[in-house]
Amino acid sequence: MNELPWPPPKEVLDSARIGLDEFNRYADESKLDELKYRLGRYSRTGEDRIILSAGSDLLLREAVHLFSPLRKTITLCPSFLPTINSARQTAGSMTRIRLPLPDFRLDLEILEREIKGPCLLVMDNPNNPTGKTVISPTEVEKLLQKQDLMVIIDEAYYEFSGVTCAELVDRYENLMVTRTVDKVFSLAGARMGYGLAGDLFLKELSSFFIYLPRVTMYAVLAALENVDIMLERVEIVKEERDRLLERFLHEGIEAYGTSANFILIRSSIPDVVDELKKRGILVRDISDQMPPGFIRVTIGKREENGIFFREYLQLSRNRSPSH
Amino acid sequence: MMNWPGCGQSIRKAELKTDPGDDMQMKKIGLVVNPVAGMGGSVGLKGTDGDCYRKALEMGARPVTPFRTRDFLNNLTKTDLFHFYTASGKMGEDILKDQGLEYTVIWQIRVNTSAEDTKKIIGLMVKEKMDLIVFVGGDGTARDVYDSLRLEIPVIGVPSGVKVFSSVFALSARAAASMLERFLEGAKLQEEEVLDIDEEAFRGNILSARLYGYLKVPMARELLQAGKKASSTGTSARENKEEVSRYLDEEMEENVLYLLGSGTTMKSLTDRLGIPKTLLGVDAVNNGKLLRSDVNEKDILELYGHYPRRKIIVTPLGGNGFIFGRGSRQFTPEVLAQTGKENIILAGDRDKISCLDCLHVDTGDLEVDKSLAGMREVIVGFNERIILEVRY
Repeated sequence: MNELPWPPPKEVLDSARIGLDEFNRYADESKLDELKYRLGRYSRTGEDRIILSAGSDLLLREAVHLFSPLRKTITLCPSFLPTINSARQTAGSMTRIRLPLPDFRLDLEILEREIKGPCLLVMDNPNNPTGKTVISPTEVEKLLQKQDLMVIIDEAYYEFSGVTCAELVDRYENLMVTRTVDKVFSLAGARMGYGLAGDLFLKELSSFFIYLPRVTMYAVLAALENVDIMLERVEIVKEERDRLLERFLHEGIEAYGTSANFILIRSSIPDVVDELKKRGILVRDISDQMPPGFIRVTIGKREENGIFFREYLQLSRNRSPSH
Repeated sequence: MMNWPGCGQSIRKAELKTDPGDDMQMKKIGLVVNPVAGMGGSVGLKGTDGDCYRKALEMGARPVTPFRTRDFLNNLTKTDLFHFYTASGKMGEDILKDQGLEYTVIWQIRVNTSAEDTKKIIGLMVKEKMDLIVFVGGDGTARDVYDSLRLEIPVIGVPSGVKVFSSVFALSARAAASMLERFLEGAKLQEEEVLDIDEEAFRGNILSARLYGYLKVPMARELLQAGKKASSTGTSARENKEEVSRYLDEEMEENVLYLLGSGTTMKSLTDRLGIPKTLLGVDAVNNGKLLRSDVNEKDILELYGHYPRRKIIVTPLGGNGFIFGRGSRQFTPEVLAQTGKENIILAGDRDKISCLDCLHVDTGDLEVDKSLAGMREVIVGFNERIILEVRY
């Protein structure tokens, strides 16, 4: 799973306990409004643009189901699989554009060529699982001017990439940005995502209302008061990510850096996922959307990354012939 | 050319008095060409083993390996860093002489060559401590090389057979030349698979492969073809194939000649149409009816004379993404040139296509390969596509 290795800060856990003490109650709306206000400030958009969701995947699914039936859905390959599966259920037609090796670059010319007639464009940026920032806000803004195009940008890894289209939602009714607190706020277990929605999305998703679990609501409220702690953690993860990547590259292992909290390795070790699992290390096998051998490795604590590096190298050396 | 003890060949470069391999800087590169590999392809035979070679000749098959070998040699750089060792005549010498490259003959072939020649030559090359061996052929040749070599010396496989499914092969002859360059630059080595394709089953329309062994190749993943991946089975894969075939069926036009390539996705389409399918061959269909089954190049060109509107539907090979140049060799450069890129429909099952980084063509004709390159869509479901690049 893709998570942060540290538990939430004490302040966040203390706040969550308030929610636990009142577990017999639904989340009250004034607190939900406060949460939207704080998310609005954090995202630098108005609170009225915030749509809360129990996980960003749920909001993505809702939006895709709503907008895809009479549209051509365009997305990436690889991409976040639950979104693709949602689109497959309802989309009038679907086209996925391959992000090819070695740099996973999106061919914008092809993308523009594909946008014809009513379309829904869904892109994760940075892309999951390549971790590549595939499109800039300027490029998104250019696309948003096309007629009858709805755009959803999933920014689940925004805090690691620093690239966002949030500021465009005030100006473009046909844009929604989705995000999550799962990863950067150390709150994967709380399962909360949110959307920053342009007017058209706000209108069509007006009936989408989630009573967040009370514990989650209090936890996120406190987390938003402790953004500095989260940002420090993001910096640690980024440093560790780059350090680990460097070590693998130094060993001549095919590894790819990302703008997210993971690296990719193209492994030639047979059954690498199972072999690592036997050693107590869990990595994500992404060969269902990538050429064989690709694994996604989430950055952990420094000591965990060290163990992974040593174990991987040992497996690799047991296998490879040298020149 | 130099002589080799016992070979009785003349020396072409008189100043070259010692074995060039004695020079520490000069790498010793063996070259083994299987002169009959790939000849069955255009005539619709599934190989050139045994009696099939004679049959291929009778059917007008043309040699393939000289073109592939020439393509490989033409793209070589740094020729001052190595020296070729090869067999006489069509197993290497003829082409090297034509290309004006320096070489030494280490084995004299007879008029008719066989797998035993390949094994013998490889054995000699092991004895003489080649740094690397380049072989030109298909899976059968790779097996012969493996039998005499194992992991002793690294190889580069130049694809030229009808069946080229092993991952020891380069993507193309040009890619093989780049691999040699990598080797000279000191690339690390990796082990890749040699597959044993069941000849009898293959001729009987079944692709049955087992791992035969491993050969060492220079580490250059982007230049190597991935091994063929078996088609997905199971309920979801079958449902997906049915979804693709339902879409293709709805899109098929009246009075158009359709040439359906090999594989289970095409079989699903013909099942839907209620007609038989040559699983590892090409079938011609018009207005939902089977015109001719298991057609070869000659048949196709003849049919093209009668059908001005024609389309090819093919499935990229799982694992390596080849659309032309492996598998259905009946789609020759001539056939493809007459068909046109816009009349080629690609379709395959979702799981297989989702894992491909790109598609490949290696028809043996660079101009045709170039004309097929670029971004293409592959139908992977009902009204569902993946766009990816075709590379050559």
